Amino acid sequence: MKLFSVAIGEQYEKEALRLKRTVDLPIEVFTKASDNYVEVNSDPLINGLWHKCNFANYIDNADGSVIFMDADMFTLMENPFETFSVKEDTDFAYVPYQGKWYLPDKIRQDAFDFHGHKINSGFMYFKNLEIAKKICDQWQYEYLEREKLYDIDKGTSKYEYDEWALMIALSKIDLTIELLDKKWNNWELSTKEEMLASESVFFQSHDLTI
Amino acid sequence: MAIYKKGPRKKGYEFSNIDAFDNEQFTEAVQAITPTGGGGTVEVLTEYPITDASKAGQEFIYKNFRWSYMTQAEIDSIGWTGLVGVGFPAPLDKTPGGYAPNYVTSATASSTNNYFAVVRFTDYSDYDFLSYGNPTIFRSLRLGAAGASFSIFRNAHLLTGLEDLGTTQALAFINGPISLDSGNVLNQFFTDLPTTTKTATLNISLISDQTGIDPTIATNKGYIVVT
Repeated sequence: MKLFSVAIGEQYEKEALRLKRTVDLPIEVFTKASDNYVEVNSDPLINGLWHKCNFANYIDNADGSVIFMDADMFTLMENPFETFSVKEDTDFAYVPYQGKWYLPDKIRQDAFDFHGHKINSGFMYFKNLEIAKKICDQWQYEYLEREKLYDIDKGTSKYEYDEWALMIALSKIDLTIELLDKKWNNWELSTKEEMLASESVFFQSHDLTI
Repeated sequence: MAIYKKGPRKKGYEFSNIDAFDNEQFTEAVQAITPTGGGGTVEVLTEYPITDASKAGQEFIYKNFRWSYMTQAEIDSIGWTGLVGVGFPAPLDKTPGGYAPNYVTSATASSTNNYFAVVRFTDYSDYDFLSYGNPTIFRSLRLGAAGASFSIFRNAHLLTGLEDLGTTQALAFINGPISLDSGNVLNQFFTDLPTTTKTATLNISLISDQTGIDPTIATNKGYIVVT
């Protein structure tokens, strides 16, 4: 199993160090110092998110499955992957958001309706590197298509992040998908006390004091 | 009729709501007032105030707090130009730094841009976004308390800064279940919101009865709604 993360920028690099420290397993982290790094956008948020969308294309070899984790993830558990498993025929797995989502535009509404939920991209399982690259090729393309719609000067948001692009991409690829339990990324918990009381395996926070 | 139930009469002030003086907080509030421009009468209102351009610059008391009908200069000074009209009533603290609506936020609000609901002078049924202070500065709001029930949301048109920050949604009801008098309460809130080109998600999933709620009112203004 190949563990991978992307950390473009000083804060994310610090967070990735926390991820590596808490998981205590080899995790490859793509940073600005990596050989394949190129700046694709002068906006740091857009630049960083595009590299996340394209992450699999930075992996040369992977023996078996690939797991992507956002740099700001971490665990409080020893052997966090001890109980992780997916079905044998699963190509791609992730933790979905809850609730029915209503979007202001057709392309994202169609993507939501296609999947029936919003996808969280913080923790994702790929059956193998080939599938990961297939998804990333489409994902990074769709992200750049979404980016064309941003008009920062006019206040049109760049903060839709990468997940709608992923959902649009996945609606165009035939894959066997599995939904993971929220314990694999409980991003909604924000305090140390909540996390300690939780049985979840992974959390996300930009607060490095946690 | 002038009523002075407690303490020495303050020169130049005249109050007219005898019931309010039974409230200790009210007494403290009005005794702390320094008249703007000196003298005059501070009216005490028992109904929610409405915009009145003819009263621009005048102050009044409502729900134990000092309010003012704003002048154009005051509106311009806090960036509300075009958002409210002259005579818009706002609760105030006149600070040395300028014209600042009275507000309470979480200790970490300024550093995280996450502003949490602290209700200071309205109860949950009558919910006024002005009770946070200047609503235009808020990017992310959390509304609710265990058992909270809402009958009206006021001044949602001032929530011009709402925007998602990662997985932190722009506005979410928390500590549910939350109840509404009817779906129209939230529909009116959606109607009052400003249009947006930002990514701003309104999460209403913890509202227990969503009968009659129409998310398309908000999506037509650019918001994402999660039910």
